[in-house]
Amino acid sequence: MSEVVTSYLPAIAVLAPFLAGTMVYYIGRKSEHARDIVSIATCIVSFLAIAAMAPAVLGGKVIELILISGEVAPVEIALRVDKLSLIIAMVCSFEWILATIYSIRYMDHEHARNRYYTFMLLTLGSVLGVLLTKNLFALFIFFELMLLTSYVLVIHEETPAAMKAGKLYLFLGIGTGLVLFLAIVMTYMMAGTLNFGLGGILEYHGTMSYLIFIAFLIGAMAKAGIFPLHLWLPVAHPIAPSPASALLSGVLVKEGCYLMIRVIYDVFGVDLVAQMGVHLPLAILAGFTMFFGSAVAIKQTNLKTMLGYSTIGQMGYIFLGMSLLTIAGLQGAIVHIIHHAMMKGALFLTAGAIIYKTGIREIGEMAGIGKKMPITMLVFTITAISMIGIPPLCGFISKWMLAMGALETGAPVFMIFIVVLILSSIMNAAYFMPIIISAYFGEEDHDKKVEYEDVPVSMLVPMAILALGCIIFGIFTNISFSAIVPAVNALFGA
Amino acid sequence: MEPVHSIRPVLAIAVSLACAFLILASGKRQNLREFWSIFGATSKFLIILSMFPFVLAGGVYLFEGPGIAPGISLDFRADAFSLFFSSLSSFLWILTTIYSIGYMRTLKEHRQTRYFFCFAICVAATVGIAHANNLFTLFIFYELLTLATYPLVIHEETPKAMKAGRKYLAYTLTGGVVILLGMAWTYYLAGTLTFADHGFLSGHGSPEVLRVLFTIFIIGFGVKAAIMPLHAWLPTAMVAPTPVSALLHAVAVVKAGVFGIIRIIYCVFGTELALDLGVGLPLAVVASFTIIVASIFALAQDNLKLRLAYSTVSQLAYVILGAALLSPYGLMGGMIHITHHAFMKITLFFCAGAILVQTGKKNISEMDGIGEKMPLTMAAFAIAAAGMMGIPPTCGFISKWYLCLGAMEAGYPIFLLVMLVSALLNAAYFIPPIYGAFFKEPDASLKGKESSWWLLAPILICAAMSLILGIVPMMPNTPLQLVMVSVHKFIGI
Repeated sequence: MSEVVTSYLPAIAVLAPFLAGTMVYYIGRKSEHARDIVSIATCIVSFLAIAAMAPAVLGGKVIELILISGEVAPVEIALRVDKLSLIIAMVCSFEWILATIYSIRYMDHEHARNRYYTFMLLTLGSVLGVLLTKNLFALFIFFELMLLTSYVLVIHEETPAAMKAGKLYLFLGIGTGLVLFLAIVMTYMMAGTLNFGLGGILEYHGTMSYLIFIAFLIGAMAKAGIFPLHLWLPVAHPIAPSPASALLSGVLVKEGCYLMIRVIYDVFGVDLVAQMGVHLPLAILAGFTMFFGSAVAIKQTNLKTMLGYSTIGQMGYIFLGMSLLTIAGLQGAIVHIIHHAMMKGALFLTAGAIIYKTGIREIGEMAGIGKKMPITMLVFTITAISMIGIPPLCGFISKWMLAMGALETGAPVFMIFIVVLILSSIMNAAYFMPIIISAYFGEEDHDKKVEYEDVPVSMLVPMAILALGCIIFGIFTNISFSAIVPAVNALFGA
Repeated sequence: MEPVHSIRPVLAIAVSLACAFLILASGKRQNLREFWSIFGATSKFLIILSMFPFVLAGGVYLFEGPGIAPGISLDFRADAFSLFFSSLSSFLWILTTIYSIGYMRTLKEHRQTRYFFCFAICVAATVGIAHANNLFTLFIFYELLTLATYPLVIHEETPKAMKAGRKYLAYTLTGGVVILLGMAWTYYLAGTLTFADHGFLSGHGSPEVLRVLFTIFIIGFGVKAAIMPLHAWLPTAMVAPTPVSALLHAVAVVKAGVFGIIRIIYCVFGTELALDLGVGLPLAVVASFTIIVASIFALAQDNLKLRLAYSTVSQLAYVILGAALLSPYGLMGGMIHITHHAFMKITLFFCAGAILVQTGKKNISEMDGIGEKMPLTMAAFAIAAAGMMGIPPTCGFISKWYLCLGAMEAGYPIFLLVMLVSALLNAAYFIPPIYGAFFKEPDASLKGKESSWWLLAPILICAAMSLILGIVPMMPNTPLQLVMVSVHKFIGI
């Protein structure tokens, strides 16, 4: 067991956004400028608090802090930071900083801006809460908070379409949340604990074990947008303001993946999952989702909806990686959580930039846009090519690791997933390449010929940083793997 | 721990009875009259609070009253379960009094003296039920509660109100007679009516007889506990002024019914006997039926108070379900839901009343956009409604947690599904009003602003309590502590 130390840093990371979130609503009434600065500063504080834990956590320690002791709550509410939570939390909070900076100009002609920033911060707090908790009980509480706070981001526009999407998001979230709750109740009664980091707390209980696994799976699938519980994702993600879409698709769906990794490796344990044999059906589900998401994305004419379906396919990659039960597979899943966060975040931000400047949402109208908005489209090109999986960009690394993971199983049946992986890459190319080609080489529609320039610097920089990240993480893989390798080893109990 | 004799269990009842007559005497002087109400409520609460340390340590206070018949006397006790119920109703009485003052004065209601007088009697009766040491004492106060509530139900004196009053009396008095029958039979079988921590009926009478007796008691108490199909009086009684609906029809009267049922199961029959008789499961099934069907009825209501009334029917059945599981966690979940539901539902009723006072609107469909006019009220409404759905970190989540654990512990995971469906239905009927209030455009006819602090303060305090009890439910001197002591005594974990 790794050494446990106490620190207030995780509490700062989680609670600062909640505190500031309630404050910015009132600050915004006095000064919008002050509100923007406080919002960004809070995201930076959270990020720094997490980054400050990196040396200790990567050095083999686990940080814990009791928020509400088991004497006053049914189950202790405690924070816990291990390598897995640290890696994902760092990526999430970093992306939050970028999206918030981007929001300043993007939101300047939107309504209800105070509410927007308030709920951006509250959602950040909930997201970090999910990642940094010690047990399933606390995780569930933050999960529900995340649902409610992100709901307000989804319905920001308050158009009939947004309200409809929000309703689906909310009710599906509440329903599957209840199933997750029942899974937690059953686990608690069976295991007597809900803590992470013990390497499998459940023992084999026959049918009950399968029921619990399915209930957990339903909860996680709905958050991650895995088929057939993906229904809300392609309507809810595109309808939100673009920076919020970037976070919903880049960060929030990852919470479902994180939960499933915890369930497989920390609640059931690798051995029990292998014994139950549930990983193969899970892999098939993931494989189908990869295929389905990519295939449907090809047919989309609205750019943001297309990106939404693309996310579904990419979540399939991550679920596939974790269900292989091999070290390389899990490494691939975790590294893809990071890479997809950067890629999809950047893509939604570019889609937002196009909407901000031109109001165009349809792919068919984007011909020739590369000449008008060169930097935006450069970012789009880099990240889209990365999504397709062309080296030396980061998307290639993910796919490489996932293929390795499938090979490592040694089971012929898993080889089929390498084929799915390739098919999915081809389909990624099929929906991204036409956009890129027509943006640079397409003829502009003469009726709508208007002069415009690229978006403001405060919007360009966040996009550029993410695109740069795709290149850096594709070449200097050591940056991510130096943290991921020990994290995966810890989950495998090595 | 030996029981200690003390006058405090009776004093808590007497103080509000005395205040009732002081209210009557000072009817002409409004401010003095209201002072007596608040004074009675506060001193009663303090008396009850003073008994906490000893009772939390496992002790019991007893007071032996005059004998009525051989073996039957008007005895009082204060154990953890008594205090659990009496502290709740007296604390909420304080808030309801403050709210009532604002409500009755703004609406310029008639006959306010009668109103406050009856209210005081009702709360005295409720605490009498809580502090009863035997079935007989409980029954006396149970009937007193019925009679004292009647003038409150018919307060408006419209034909509709008078009709509702008749229905109310018909149901509850019949229920009372059924309890009387059960009580007489119990005395015949066991020769005593005094509550015991593990029941006293074991070894008296054949299983068949005891099963019939159990059914009689459930029917008798089931009227006030609004178990379907005995619930019909509750929605009709919503013609009463809103504070009455809030305190009596969400806390005192209906909870007296479920309090009686828990006393019957655990202090008359006892866990072991109930398990041997196999009466828990049928009761749990009836409760589950009520949970689901009442929620479906609630969906169909446009009148906000009616929707809340059906929601109450459904939530009361949670308590009964928890008690019927006959497992420690189940009982814990059921009991604590008495408090948690009380705080959440009283918030909702208070909000409904505030909306009525400020805008005159009663129907949900007319409340679109009201969140803009009354943001604090509607925020409180949203918190309490989230609690009804069991969303953390509200206190409804804690109830649900223990109830679900209880269903697992009792070996009936099927009831988890009941909780799941019910929570979804709760979402289906509580989200639309919140959504409409915050995200729909207000109608031109919607006028009004945030209500006065008389109304607003109780709303905000109750909403805050719903959150506090959800975040740190086990703090010292909280209801959950009393529940744990009670469960320990009744089942012995």
